[in-house]
Amino acid sequence: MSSEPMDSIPRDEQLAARLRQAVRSQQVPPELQVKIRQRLDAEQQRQEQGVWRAAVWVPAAAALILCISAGVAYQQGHLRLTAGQRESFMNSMLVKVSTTMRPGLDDHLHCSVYGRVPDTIPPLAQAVKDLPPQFAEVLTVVQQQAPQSFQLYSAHLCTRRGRKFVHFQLKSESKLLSVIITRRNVEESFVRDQILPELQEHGVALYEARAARFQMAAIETRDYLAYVVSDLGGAENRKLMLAMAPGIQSVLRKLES
Amino acid sequence: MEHGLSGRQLFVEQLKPAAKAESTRAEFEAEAMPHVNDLFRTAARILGDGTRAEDVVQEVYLQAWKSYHRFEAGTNCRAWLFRILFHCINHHRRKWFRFPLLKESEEFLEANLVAPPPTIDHLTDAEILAALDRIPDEFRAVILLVDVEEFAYKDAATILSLPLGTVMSRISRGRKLLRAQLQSVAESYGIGKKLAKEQGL
Repeated sequence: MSSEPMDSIPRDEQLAARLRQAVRSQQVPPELQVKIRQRLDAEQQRQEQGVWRAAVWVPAAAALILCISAGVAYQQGHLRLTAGQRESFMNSMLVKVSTTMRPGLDDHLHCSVYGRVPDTIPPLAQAVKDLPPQFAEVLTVVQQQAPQSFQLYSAHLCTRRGRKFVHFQLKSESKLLSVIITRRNVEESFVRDQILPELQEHGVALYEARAARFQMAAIETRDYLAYVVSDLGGAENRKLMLAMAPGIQSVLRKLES
Repeated sequence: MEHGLSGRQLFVEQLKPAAKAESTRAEFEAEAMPHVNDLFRTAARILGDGTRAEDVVQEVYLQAWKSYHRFEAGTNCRAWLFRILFHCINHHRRKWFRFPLLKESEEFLEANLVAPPPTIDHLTDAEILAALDRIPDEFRAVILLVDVEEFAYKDAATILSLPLGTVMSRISRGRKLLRAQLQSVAESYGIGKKLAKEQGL
């Protein structure tokens, strides 16, 4: 670093030299370098300990977070790898709702939650190829009333615990929605179970239940039970069922007559 | 096989972390330790207290070590350390006491000073240092950096985080103030008068 162009102020060399001599005559404590080295040693040790602590605690904390997340996910029904674990989860959900609600929830859990959900939505003709023709009108209702973010990926007839279900499966990016219709067994009735409807509108009595993240809304006719089961909130799920109920009831009554 | 790395580069890359830390520490000491005396003396003159100067210099080395990874090898380590020194001094100054700014009387003195070169050869180191200590801190800092430590104005400006023009003006005014202080010390011993008499003035 050259200073020549800048050092235009004449320096009193005699004064500067004398000043340098005086300043440099000051005694520097002989132990200063030792003290500095000791502080550097202490700092280095602290840094190394910090690195060691981080090396231990960061993986430990990560492992703990992983365990907790896995635990929470397991409680919510994820990470159930074996059939036994899945059945156990399904049973734990079913006991949270009334007997009449159970068939709909059971079919949703078995067929949608633990069933195969395609990554891409198949063409409609392929999605509905296993749908009994007498429920084709319900398909129209479902398509008209389902939220725009949901797309139908399957409409079929399935059997669960010896019972038949007509199952309309829809999915959005992260949520599942089922519209399920099944024949009512004699002993199954919200009315008989003295369950009060959540609301009654235009002659539709709507029943609701919730088990963990699964929200259910149901209606019953003389011979059938119809359910909407989803991961949506209570209000949204209810609104959906209310919108679909007249159309579904109309189809079911035709079938009953 | 040609790997494009020299033996030394390979050696450095293969060092274990602890060994690497040791090697960096050795490099740091080799670069920084030779300047400890200059730093201490400057700190002592600015702070007017050897014990505080010791504390500050230790702090300087600690700060320098912590930020040594940002130091570019081959650049001016001495100027870098002095910059940290003045940063630490400013920090401690706020903690310990407030330095008085240049008083009006001093401004008057330096503005009206006709500075005959004092006969400094007749003064002791202690008297010269005492005279230096009597000039205001902001001028003393610049004199210490430029006249004693022989930094270029540009470097002094960087170290003190001041504009170059301010450094130049302070060095000029500081030297005048110092000469005035030295002159008054010399005269108190009758040195200046005696010399003037000898010269027939």
